[in-house]
Amino acid sequence: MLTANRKALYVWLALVLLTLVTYAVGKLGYAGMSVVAMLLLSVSIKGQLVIDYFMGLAQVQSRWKWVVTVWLLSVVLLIGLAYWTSV
Amino acid sequence: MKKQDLPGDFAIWIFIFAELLVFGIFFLAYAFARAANVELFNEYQQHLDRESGAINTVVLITSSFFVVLAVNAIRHNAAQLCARWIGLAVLLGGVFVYLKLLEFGSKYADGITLSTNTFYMFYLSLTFFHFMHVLMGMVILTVVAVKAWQGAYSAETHTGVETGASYWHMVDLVWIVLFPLVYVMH
Amino acid sequence: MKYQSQAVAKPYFIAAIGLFVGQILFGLILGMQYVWGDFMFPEIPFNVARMVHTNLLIVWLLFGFMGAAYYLVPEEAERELQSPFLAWALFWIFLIAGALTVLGYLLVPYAQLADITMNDLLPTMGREFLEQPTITKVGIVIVALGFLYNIGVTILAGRKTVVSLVLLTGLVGLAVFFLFAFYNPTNVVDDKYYWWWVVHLWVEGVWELIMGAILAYVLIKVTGVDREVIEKWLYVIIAMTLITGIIGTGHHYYWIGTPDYWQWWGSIFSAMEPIPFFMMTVFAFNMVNRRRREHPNKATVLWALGTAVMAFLGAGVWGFLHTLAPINYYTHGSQVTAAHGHMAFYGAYVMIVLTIISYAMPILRGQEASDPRSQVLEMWSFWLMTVSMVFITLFLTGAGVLQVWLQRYTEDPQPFMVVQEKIEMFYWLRELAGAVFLIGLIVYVISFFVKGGERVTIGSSDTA
Repeated sequence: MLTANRKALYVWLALVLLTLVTYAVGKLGYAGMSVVAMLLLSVSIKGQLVIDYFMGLAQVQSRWKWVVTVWLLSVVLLIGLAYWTSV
Repeated sequence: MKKQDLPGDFAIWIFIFAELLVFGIFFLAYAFARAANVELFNEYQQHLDRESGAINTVVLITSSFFVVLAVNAIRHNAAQLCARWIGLAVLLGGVFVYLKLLEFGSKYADGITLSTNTFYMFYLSLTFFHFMHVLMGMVILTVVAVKAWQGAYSAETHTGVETGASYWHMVDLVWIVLFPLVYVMH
Repeated sequence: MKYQSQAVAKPYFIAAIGLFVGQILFGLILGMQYVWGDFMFPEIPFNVARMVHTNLLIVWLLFGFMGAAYYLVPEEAERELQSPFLAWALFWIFLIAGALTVLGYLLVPYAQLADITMNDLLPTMGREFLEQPTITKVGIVIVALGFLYNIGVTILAGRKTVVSLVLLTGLVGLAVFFLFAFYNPTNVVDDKYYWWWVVHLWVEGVWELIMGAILAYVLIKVTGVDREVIEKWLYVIIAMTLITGIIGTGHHYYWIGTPDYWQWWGSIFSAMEPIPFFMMTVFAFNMVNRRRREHPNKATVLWALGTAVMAFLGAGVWGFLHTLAPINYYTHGSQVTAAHGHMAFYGAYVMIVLTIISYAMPILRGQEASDPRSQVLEMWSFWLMTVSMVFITLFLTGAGVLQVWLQRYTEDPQPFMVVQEKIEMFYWLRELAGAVFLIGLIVYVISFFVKGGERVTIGSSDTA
């Protein structure tokens, strides 16, 4: 149980840190396409961490697990596209 | 040693996929609506309570973390511990709900509604829709916690715990996209 | 037939088919009036023919749903129907009330009908699909309550299955939402807002539960696939129906004077309304592929698969084509709408009723499946009606696209009647397809009276 819990703790830490970074970016008022891209990258990492280690799909062999990752990537990419076309 | 199936009852995953689809489309609608209204969105985004949003993000992430601990507990037959961790997760869910209500209350007091402008329409719709799912998740987790406390689950049979956990992680995952998108990115 | 009381389904099914024929005859009158305006005027003006056509459709489908419930519920609940007498009584009440209403439409000017039926005591007349006199509507509520009592007690006192509970939920929903037909606000926006609580929440809501339950029941019977597998699919399908369809009501709130956010909510949620129909298609084909028996009623299997496909195309795809607000802005109320409406109603609801009749009628008449010659004719009727409906839809789609282009989208929009003249060719073709549909329906009716042909059983068709 301990190693599984410790892994979860590290993931939690990473998620919180990335959240703080996102918040800071917002607070400091950074804008523009490169910032947006960076934030989307952060979303992808956070999202995939939740998928892999909180949902536990990294431990699963099923083809269905890819649905969630594909969802995350598609949403992130299309959001990126929408922002890119509006800059 | 990898497992064959998705955790919990497969039916919840169909439900999860459906929810992800709805939210995904909603997020994209937001992003593309923004593209047609950049100044409007940039301006009114500044009026959002970013602190509340950020705290709520940490609250949900932590809540999800507790649910992971709960699942790990029942996998080792620690049913009472499992119930406690889920209880704490629900409590944090309650914190999210409370902060969200404060946020909505504040906007309402300022006279902001769904019809104020397109940005606020999306902000209120998205966060309210997510809010409803947090409530639903809390109900599901409470049921699981009670059952765990009553000894309904064991290391061999705890599909219900994994099912409820999966749903809650979806709620968390959605917010992880929502917060940066609506509160920060511009 | 395992339970004697299942026999009450038979008159309901017969009435359904009879009224179906009436509906189509009036459909052909309407189609002719599109191109020859004075056809049957003044005896049967267009608006009267339209009321008869649409009202007959709803009434015969309701007879079909009730027949389906009376047939499958005793078997699912493993007990006789609570009161076959009540079922018979309600049958005659509903049939006579329906017949009188249709006669009222045909024989009496509408305003006079309103007077005679004391509409001013509680005005509910004058709205599309809800043209029935208030007393008829009250009659419908009474029949519905009696029906729900009968079916409800049977289910709740017996074995409860997912199929019967989903069916019951759908039927209760049908009755509850019909009550909004009595709510007639003075404010035009509210009037339209709540009208959809009957219409949308019926056909894009609770009726889908009814359809799903009947389809699941038929698939359990003809494929022999494990009930649990089929029931799990049913849960998922109805979940998707409700998730997408409830807020999806918003796709009727784009232009009626409600707030703008409905254009977003309605578009986003209704865009996903095809999903349950897609799932039903995958579900139906999957179950048939995994079948554990070769059921002798081949026609039923054809109807079941066809229902899923046509419902997906008509309700799902054609619905999607005009559901997004920016598109709907141009196509609203055009022949595109008519195209979708026809294929959706036929694919989802006409076909599911014909599916259950296909399965149950032979059993009600004493055979596990009809004689081969009968089934062949029935399958011919399936193809005639289905293919002709596809053509009706395609022609109306063509008419609609041209209409929208000329009347709304171009730089120089043309007046309504000018455009109607230009799309006349599509209406003629539609009427031709409609005639073929009627032929299909006649073949369908004939199939019930045909016998013979050699039954060939390759491998055993014993119960699994």
